[in-house]
Amino acid sequence: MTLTRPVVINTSMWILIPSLIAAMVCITPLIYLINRVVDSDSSVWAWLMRPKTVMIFTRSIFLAITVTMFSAVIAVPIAWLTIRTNLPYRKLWSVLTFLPLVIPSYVGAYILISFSGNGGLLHEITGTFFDVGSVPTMYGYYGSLVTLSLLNFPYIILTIRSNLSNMDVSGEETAKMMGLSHFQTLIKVTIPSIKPAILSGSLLVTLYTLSDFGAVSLLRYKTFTWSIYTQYESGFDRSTAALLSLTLFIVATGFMFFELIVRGNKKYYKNSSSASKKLPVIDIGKWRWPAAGLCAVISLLSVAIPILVLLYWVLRGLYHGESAAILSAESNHILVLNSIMLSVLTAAVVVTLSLPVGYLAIRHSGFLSSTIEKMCYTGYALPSIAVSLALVFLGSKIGSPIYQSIYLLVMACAVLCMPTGLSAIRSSMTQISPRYEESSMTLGKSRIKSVITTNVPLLKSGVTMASVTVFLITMKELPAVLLLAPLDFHTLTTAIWSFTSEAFFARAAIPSLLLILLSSIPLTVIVLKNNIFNNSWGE
Amino acid sequence: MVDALLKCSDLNIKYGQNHVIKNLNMHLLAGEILSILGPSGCGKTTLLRIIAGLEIPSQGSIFLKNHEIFGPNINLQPSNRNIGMIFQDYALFPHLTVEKNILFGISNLEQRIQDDNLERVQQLTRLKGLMDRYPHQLSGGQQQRVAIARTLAPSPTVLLMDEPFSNLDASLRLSVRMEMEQILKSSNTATIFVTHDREEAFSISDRVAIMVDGAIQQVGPPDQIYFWPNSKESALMSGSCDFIKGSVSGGSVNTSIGPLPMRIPEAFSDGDEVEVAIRQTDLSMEPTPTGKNIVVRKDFRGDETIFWVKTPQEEVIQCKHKIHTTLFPGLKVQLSPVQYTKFNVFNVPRS
Repeated sequence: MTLTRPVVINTSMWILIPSLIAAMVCITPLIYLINRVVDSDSSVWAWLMRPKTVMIFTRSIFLAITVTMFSAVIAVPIAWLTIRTNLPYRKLWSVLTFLPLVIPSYVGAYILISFSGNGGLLHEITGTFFDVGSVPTMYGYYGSLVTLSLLNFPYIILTIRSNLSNMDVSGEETAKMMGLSHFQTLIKVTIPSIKPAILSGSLLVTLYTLSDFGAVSLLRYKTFTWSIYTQYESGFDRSTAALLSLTLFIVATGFMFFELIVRGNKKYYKNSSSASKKLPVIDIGKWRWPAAGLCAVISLLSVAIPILVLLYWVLRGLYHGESAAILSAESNHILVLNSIMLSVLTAAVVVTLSLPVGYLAIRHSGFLSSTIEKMCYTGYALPSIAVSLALVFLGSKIGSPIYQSIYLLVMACAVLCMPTGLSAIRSSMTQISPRYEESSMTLGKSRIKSVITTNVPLLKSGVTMASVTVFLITMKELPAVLLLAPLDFHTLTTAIWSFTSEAFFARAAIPSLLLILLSSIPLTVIVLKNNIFNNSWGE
Repeated sequence: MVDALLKCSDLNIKYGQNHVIKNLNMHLLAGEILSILGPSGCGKTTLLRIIAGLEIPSQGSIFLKNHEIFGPNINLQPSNRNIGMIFQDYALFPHLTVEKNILFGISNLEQRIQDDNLERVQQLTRLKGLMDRYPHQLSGGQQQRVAIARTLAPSPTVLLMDEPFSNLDASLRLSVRMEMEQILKSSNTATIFVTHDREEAFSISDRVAIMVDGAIQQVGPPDQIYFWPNSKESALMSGSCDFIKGSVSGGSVNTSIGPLPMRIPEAFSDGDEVEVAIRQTDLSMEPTPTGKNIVVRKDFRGDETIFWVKTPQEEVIQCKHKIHTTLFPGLKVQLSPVQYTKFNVFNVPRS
């Protein structure tokens, strides 16, 4: 009698072990924070209940929600106008409204401070013509709201873009035949049908706002991240910082669950059979030019003015002979090289770790693989400052050679970028038929060799997308570099940070422009990959 | 019995509560083409995947050339079985040219042997001139030939094909099928071929295995399956047929349309309650005012016309007829067996 054999998931150890390593790496900061908080004494808990802490908590959440609402209000009309209507200069606006992604939030904040407010550029220029006296300050809530909304709205455009351009128009056509106007159709049919995408884009903005450190610190708006940083800087007992980090993690997770519940598990849109159908261009008639004006105002505020302000500071600095000071402090090319090195290393690590996890998640769905995958998404809800802090604790505990080394910094960036990289590779993986590797196995190749030789070449677009997005995010990363970089390791971000926090606006301008320039390279790839030029009408 | 090239014994596979393959036994002889014919969901594809080593059975064993390749203590990896498989969608590597696709399975061999094998399968599948194309630049029929060439290049002991024609345009199927039969016969590779299309199975195979509900119901040459089905399921899979009730009496079976001659009278005894399988061409129709059967529906198909005829027992039988103008619904007809026709009967399942 033959023995009864259970049907086992025949996962190769070559896939499982790297995936487990990826999951362990990603979960380490969270585990460490929990450990730290559990070990601390009860006074820490009392500290959490102080009115001041509650105030910080409220402020953070309020800012996150309002920034998200503002971003959505900007993003949804622009996405619809640039994708579906006969708006003049559609391609131009499509590209311009992506560009804010290259401006880091602290650079945005620094531009706002140096441009407006007392003694700012605007005050100075107007002051030469009129006697304006004192102007309202941009520090605090309003400054943060404006900066973060204007820089984060492209994330929502990015997530709804493919939905809008692949949507099934039969719903809209039915609405039109029932006598609804373009505007009514937009409100009653189009927007509801892309609701899931709007929600996930909004969640992204909420999470970025919650974890933003640079802008709120420069604008002196005391939120969670600011508070964590000051606790870390000042306190001998770092448990409060750990506790705050963990609280922030819980808040972020709460938002994620909220989005999950609101969105449900429904798929409203259809992009299979009708996807190839050409979308009809909606004629917005007399609104064409006002709509273009709206796009122009947004582009002016979020892209043109910031870059002009930076250029102004560069010129002014050169005029006053500031450039020599920059060069003597730290050569710009070293900053650039360090930034690039960090971003390239992080992208390499993230892609390497994402490949086995993405494979496991798609090919061997089950409890183990979904747990591993979820663990890899920790960086999504754990803000950068919290990850960095956890790794500082860990590093100082282990000591050399880890502490104050580039490894720990790359690890922090990798944990933070893992969700982005993994989701790009995962979605690319879903499009590859498992038959390829099975064919390869029946043609005499071993399992692991089959998996690699058939999947990796087909994952090219996913790997490219993952690398460039991770590169872009790491270029802009601030808290991790501030907390974890080795003493003699300076990047563009640390240079910008140290100059702006001491109000050396002119000195910060050159590294800021360099950073924007460098980030434009990956952004160009993202723009091209998203077919921004391909789905224009009339071609 | 001739030694089988491939032998499966007592195969079982379960996914949770779902018992997909149940105590399956079958064998494949050298050089033959065996079709596995069954309705969708009967486990045909799973069986192929088990033989290829892509699924692990819960129980059973598989022998290839009398060597155990799967059993309680052994599970040879797909890469070591030397069994070739052609998937329903061919799974040609989209990033490789036709030549690279074909060479994929033999890349570890000596250059000279690679060249020889490439030349051999190229000639067999008539792919010369297409070597530098990519799969997406080929027609469906060409893609299939590449898939065959790629699978035959390493000279597999057994070739498995999963519904190889289902991806092709109906107009192409016949020519591609004849072409493939040619290739398989000249390469002399033993092949198991899975399909739900009776015509495909009958025309291409030496033997057909009817698979129902995770087990092989009957195996034999196509005509044997058609004329001597061993069960209602086999009768239904091997050709369209209707069943009417009857009782055995003196070597024939009495039914509502009259006595019908039995194929195997010795297997039944008088008084047995049975069901009679009636093929569309088994009965002739004669319009007569005294006829007890009524034409209820007429389906004109061009070459032939199908009539639905209701017996006095309210059983409905389909009859195929060439002429159609003089017959129409509402007409009373006499049904009688066509000369030399014998009928297969089956025991009524006890409830």
